[in-house]
Amino acid sequence: MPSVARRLFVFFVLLGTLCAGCTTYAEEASEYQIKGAFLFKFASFVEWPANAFADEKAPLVIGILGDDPFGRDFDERISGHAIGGRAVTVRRYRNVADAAKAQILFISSSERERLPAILDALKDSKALTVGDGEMFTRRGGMVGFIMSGASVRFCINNDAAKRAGLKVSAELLRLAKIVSGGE
Amino acid sequence: MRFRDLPITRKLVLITMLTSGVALLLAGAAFITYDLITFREMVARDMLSLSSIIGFNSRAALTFNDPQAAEGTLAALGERPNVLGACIYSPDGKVFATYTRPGEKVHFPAGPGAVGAHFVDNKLEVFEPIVLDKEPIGTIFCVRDMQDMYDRLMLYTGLVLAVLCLALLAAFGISAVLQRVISRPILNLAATAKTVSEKKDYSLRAEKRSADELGVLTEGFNEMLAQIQARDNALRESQQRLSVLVQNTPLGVVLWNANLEFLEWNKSAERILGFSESEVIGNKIFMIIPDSARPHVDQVVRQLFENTGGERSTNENITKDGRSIICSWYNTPLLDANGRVVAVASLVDDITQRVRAEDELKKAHDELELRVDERTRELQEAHAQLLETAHRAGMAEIATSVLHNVGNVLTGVNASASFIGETERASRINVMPRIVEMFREHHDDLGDFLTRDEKGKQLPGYVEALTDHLLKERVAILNEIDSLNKNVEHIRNIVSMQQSYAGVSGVVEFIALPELIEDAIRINSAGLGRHSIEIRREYGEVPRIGIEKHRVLQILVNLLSNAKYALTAKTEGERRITVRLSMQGEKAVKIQVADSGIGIATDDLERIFRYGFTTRKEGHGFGLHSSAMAAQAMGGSLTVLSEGLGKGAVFTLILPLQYMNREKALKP
Repeated sequence: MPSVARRLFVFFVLLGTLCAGCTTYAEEASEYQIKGAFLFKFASFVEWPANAFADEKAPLVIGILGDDPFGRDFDERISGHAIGGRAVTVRRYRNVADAAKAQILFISSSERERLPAILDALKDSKALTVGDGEMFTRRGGMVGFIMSGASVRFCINNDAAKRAGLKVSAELLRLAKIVSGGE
Repeated sequence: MRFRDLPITRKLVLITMLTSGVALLLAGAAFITYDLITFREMVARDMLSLSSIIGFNSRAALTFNDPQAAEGTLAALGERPNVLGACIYSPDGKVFATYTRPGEKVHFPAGPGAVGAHFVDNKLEVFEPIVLDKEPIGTIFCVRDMQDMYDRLMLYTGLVLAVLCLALLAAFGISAVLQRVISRPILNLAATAKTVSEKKDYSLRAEKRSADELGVLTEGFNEMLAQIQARDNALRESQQRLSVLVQNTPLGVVLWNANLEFLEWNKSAERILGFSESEVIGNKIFMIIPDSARPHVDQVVRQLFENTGGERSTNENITKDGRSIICSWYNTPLLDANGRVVAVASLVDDITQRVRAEDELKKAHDELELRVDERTRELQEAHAQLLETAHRAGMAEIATSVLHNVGNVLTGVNASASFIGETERASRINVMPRIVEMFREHHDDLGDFLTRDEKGKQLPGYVEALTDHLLKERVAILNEIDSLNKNVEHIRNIVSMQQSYAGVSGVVEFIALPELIEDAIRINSAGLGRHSIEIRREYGEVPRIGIEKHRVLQILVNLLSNAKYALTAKTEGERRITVRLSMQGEKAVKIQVADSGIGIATDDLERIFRYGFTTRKEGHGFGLHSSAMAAQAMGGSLTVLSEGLGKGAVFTLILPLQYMNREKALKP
């Protein structure tokens, strides 16, 4: 049935073109789209203490404190994924106290002025704190996004993570610029 | 030189070395193959796990899109000298990071291939997915050369070859020593066999060294030798014997071949046919065959070479000096392996003398037969005469008995006559004349005389007495005369009885046997009475039989007479003859005359019926012989039983009820 084979061929060619288009799209993804993806992927390389979750079934919560730079489609991209057997959900916070329950907490640049207070408030939290810039980590944040040319890199304040009882994998540490500070 | 022609020692060494060499080679090949397979698997596993580790360590770099970091991780493969290169593909199939060993050129596949280890062009390629949180995030590709495996192969091959060489050396050394266990007995056996066959010395024996099959072989070989030796000796002996026989046999021994030429010729052949050995060898056999015998001999020869006969032949031969002789030939065809007759061995016997002797013998035989016929006729005549004689002898015996009885009676007659004569001579009647004289004298005065005369007075008494006496005498004489008359009558009876038996030969009468026996006893009565012999009669019921009366009587008289003599010869003890008469079966009667006399010696029992045999001084040895002949002539028999001297004897006469006449009895 050559007609069927030809149709299948055409289908795959179209699919290939579509995928190539996607890739192109991804390459040209915006800075915060990448950062969002990274934020989500950090979960794979960090171990939380057992008491960080309410129970075994509790979802892994990615929180955003302050203005949301990731956009609404961030939720869509994250939802459906699971890390370490847990579902992943995105929550947006205005209140630090609420945000303390998240496992990964992106502290938006909008909160730069009250960062010390926020970090202080999160002292007992088990949240992996993520923010923009190296300074974020120097001030006690755990992971800070930095730009290296067009690429998004990050630096990690492992001491801060350790203080929160988090264990950052060596692999992740190897990719990051290690920073200390805070407290 | 072919393997099978090699000496056993070398064969054994070669076999051992070949065996151990092949075994080692196979084992080495198996070992190397196994090692290479194991090694490949190990290398594959190692590469897979190495890829996994590198892949695992590259997860973060992939996740966070950091190719430099990934290449740093890949650079760790520099520790592995065999790894030629590696690369990581991002999920979209693009090369994310690579590693190439310095100095190598590696062509990385454009995209990830099938997961797992693949050997391609002497290289091992591994694709391993990189997974994070159960999601594939990329693929790692590693390629390594197999140089180490080839090095290993070379090393092992070398090692195996070295070991093989060493093992072959060792096998050579060991087998060179140990093969002697097998080869030495065989060589020993072979040497013995060779010596035996060369020297024909069957007394040699191989040495038995072990109890295994070689020992058995050696034993068997020795046994065989012993048998051959024994057979050889036996053969030699029999050959010697045969040669002695051939040399000394009175038979000529001749061997001739298919060309009919003589091959062998012994002394006896020379003696018989005159030709010496050197004169006949190589010459045709026809030199000893006259023309007249040729057709016969030709046929015999043909039969012999066709193996269809001719083993015996009697024919005329001609000697060197031209004499014609008759020879008996015993021919044996000698066959070759194919059963073809190649020669004939003949034994020849000169039977000329024998043939002539046989002819003479035949003549003599014919004459003899004539003479025998003649003699037979003579004998038959003699036999008839003898029977006649016997008959006459029997008659003579009866006559003798009769005369004897007559004699006895005559004695009585004589005595009576004498008595009468003497009585008369001595009779008182003689006094009567004197008395008459007296009366005459006194005729006148008779009264006075009788009354007054002394003599006259006594006379009446005397006469009375005389008369009395004479009367008595008369009675006595009358008695004697009666006796005389009786005796004379007795004689008359005897004579008339003799007359009744005499001259009636061959007449068959039906007679009552008891009466006949009584006659026989009566004929013998004089002797029997004189010797006060008791006769006991035990007569059973028998029918009258048809028989020649006088012959039976002769036999019975003879038997009774013999019994009488047997008894009279005895000085003491009872004298008794028992005569028994009974049936013998259904067709014969049996008369037995048993006496308690002197008996017969066992040795004499056989001879007693022979002509001329007697134990009595006055006997002529004819009675029993003729009696037996007569009994046989009548179809009966006469036998005797005696337990020996002093034990008496029993003669048994069997007579058939149905008479067989003399002529029949003569011809058996």
